[in-house]
Amino acid sequence: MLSTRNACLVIAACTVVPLCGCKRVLPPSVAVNDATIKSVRDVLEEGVASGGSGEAAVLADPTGWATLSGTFKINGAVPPNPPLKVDKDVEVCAPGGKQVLDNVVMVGPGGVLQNVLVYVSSKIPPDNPAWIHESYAAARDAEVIFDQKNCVFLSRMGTMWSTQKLKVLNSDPVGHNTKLDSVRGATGANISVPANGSADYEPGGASPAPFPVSCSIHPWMKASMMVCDHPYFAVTDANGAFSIPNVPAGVELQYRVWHEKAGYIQDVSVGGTGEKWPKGRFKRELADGDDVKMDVAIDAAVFQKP
Amino acid sequence: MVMMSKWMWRLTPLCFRSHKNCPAADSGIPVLAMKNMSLCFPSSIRTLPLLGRVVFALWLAAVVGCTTKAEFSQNAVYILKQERELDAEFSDQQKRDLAEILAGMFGTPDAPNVPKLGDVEIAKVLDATHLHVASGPVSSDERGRARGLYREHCAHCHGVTGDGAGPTASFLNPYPRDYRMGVFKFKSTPEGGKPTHEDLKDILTNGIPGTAMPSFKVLPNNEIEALISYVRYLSIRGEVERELVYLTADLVKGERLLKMAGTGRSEQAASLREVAAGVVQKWIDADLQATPIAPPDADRDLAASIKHGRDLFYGPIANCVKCHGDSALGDGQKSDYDDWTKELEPTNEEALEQFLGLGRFILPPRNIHPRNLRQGVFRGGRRPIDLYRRIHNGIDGTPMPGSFVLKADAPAGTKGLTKDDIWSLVDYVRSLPYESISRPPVIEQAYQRERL
Repeated sequence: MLSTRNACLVIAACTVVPLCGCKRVLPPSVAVNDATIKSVRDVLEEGVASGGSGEAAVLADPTGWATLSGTFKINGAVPPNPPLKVDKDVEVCAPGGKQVLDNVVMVGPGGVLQNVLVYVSSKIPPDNPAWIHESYAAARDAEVIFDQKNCVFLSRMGTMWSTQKLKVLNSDPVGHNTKLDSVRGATGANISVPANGSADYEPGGASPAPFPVSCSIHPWMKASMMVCDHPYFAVTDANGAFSIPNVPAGVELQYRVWHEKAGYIQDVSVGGTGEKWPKGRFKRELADGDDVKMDVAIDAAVFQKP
Repeated sequence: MVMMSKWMWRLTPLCFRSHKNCPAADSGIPVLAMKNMSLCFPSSIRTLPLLGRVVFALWLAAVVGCTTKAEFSQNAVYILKQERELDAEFSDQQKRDLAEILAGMFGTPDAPNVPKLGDVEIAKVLDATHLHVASGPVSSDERGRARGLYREHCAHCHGVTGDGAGPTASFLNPYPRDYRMGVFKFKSTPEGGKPTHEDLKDILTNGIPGTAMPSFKVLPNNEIEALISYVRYLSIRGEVERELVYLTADLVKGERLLKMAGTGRSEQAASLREVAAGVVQKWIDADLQATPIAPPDADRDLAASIKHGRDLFYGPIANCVKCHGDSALGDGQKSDYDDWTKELEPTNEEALEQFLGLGRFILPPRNIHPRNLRQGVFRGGRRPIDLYRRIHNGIDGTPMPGSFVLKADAPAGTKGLTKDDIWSLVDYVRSLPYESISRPPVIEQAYQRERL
């Protein structure tokens, strides 16, 4: 039999262990009480039966078409692009052993900034001819080329309309795989692209924001892709210039501006006047036949983001 | 003291029993009665002096403590990720909004809810009865029917929230799956698709070879069904949470996802329902999306097929060698990460430090390694059809890509794999564990044993 002393020890141990316990660090949680759950649930279920939809009031149809174009420029010194660690298929990816630099920030003479994405973020009524200019009819089902050569994506900022098909080309004599990491809207994909071959990708829907593109075989290969459910988007070229022709006029549209390294561009100066674009958003209402040119300057500090 | 310890000792066989085991005063006394359970003691407690009873009650309270309700945790990683990406900072109010909207839609770990989302046939993927059986604390009712199955069988690894960070997670390699991203590796649907009901059932009944995921074949079918529903529930809830986190981060300062009063809230509610409906719809669609697979030609020359598969393995079209390595040991590409780990930005030191700084529940990143094909252990199953699916569709959430499969009408000269090519790759991969270099000579093993 157990002695009294031992019994006391056992009881003491049984008391101390649960009281002290082993501390586990748990992820944060927010306690929600039953009354709150009920009231939130009531609000969430309001209008379910009546089939109420989330569409905001339908916009009046546009009264014409206008063009929005412009340039993006950087003020100040931009940090240099880092060298890439090319350790695979070196004869193709870094011919002659040359050093390959990341091409994430491409600044041209006079500070012009390439690969800035500008797109309409207002909801454009789908399949409504009043909202899509006829000049886009041919583009609707067109094939968009997304190429890679010497283990670099030739379009660092890819764009497409969700109805289009992406032809992922491989202009290298080595195999690649193209990983399109779309987590919402457009379908994610990871396709093997044969050497000097191609593969197809159909997004099946628009993505609300740009998503990364990479190659798992050559992990240094990076790009971004944006899929819109309308044709109103553009990317700045080597001269920092963009142009979105035939945007709906007579209605106020919201645009967003994004760059892979800087994210959404928020603090800008347009034609010398400072503007604050919350999370890259700005609004413009253009009149029929307008040809508006925006000269946007951005401070180089946006690239300081780690 | 002697007296007390004597009484304590007589009281120790205390246990939780269901009512039927503790019915009458002669065998035990319920001192603590809950819905279906009682805390019973031997009837000898009656003879304990009053002071003794009070002391005993205090002691018991101290030991048992106050049990806290199980709660879903917030996706701290994704919140930080969106804060970094969208230059946002989540206020306490916004975090509370997130938790309240999610609880409004999906309930709590003890009382899950199937949200009403309008036209989406959510009942096809979430069954309220199944969820009830799988959720809650582990118990059984008067008729012996189990409840709390998820916490009994799954939560210790996958966590109450399904975040793959249960108490045992850090001891396991690979880490348990975090369902909240809505991405599953071993399934029959194309890349980006959800697993079908059968896919989840396969995983639950067969387990995942080479990992800590066991087989639950011994569970009755209705319990497996309940768990399938609950895994879908946690995944849908987790994916909706990510959508809400993204939407919150994307808000202009001062706005809220859901106003509890005033105009515009029913539009807000409707758009939140749409977000959830979008996630649910993908699960409904999955059951019709399994990639159709035609069986291989049964009369094929196996040796020739294996040789053809080998040529493809090392060739620039299938390109398997780049990651699985020159000897198929899975050593061709060992520096990449899976999509769950990539959220911690493991290659960005400053970012990684921030993510790890969230707390010790963040599991340190590990590289993902391509499968060593010489061991004959394949996580998604070793049947030919399993391997065919992995090669055809790739493995979601990992660097393993799907094949570019040639359509029947592809113009001559188009590069890609035919269905027969994929079957040849399957034949080759299945032959690898039996090649002589996959099996170390016996004499060497004996030598090693001797040395040890």
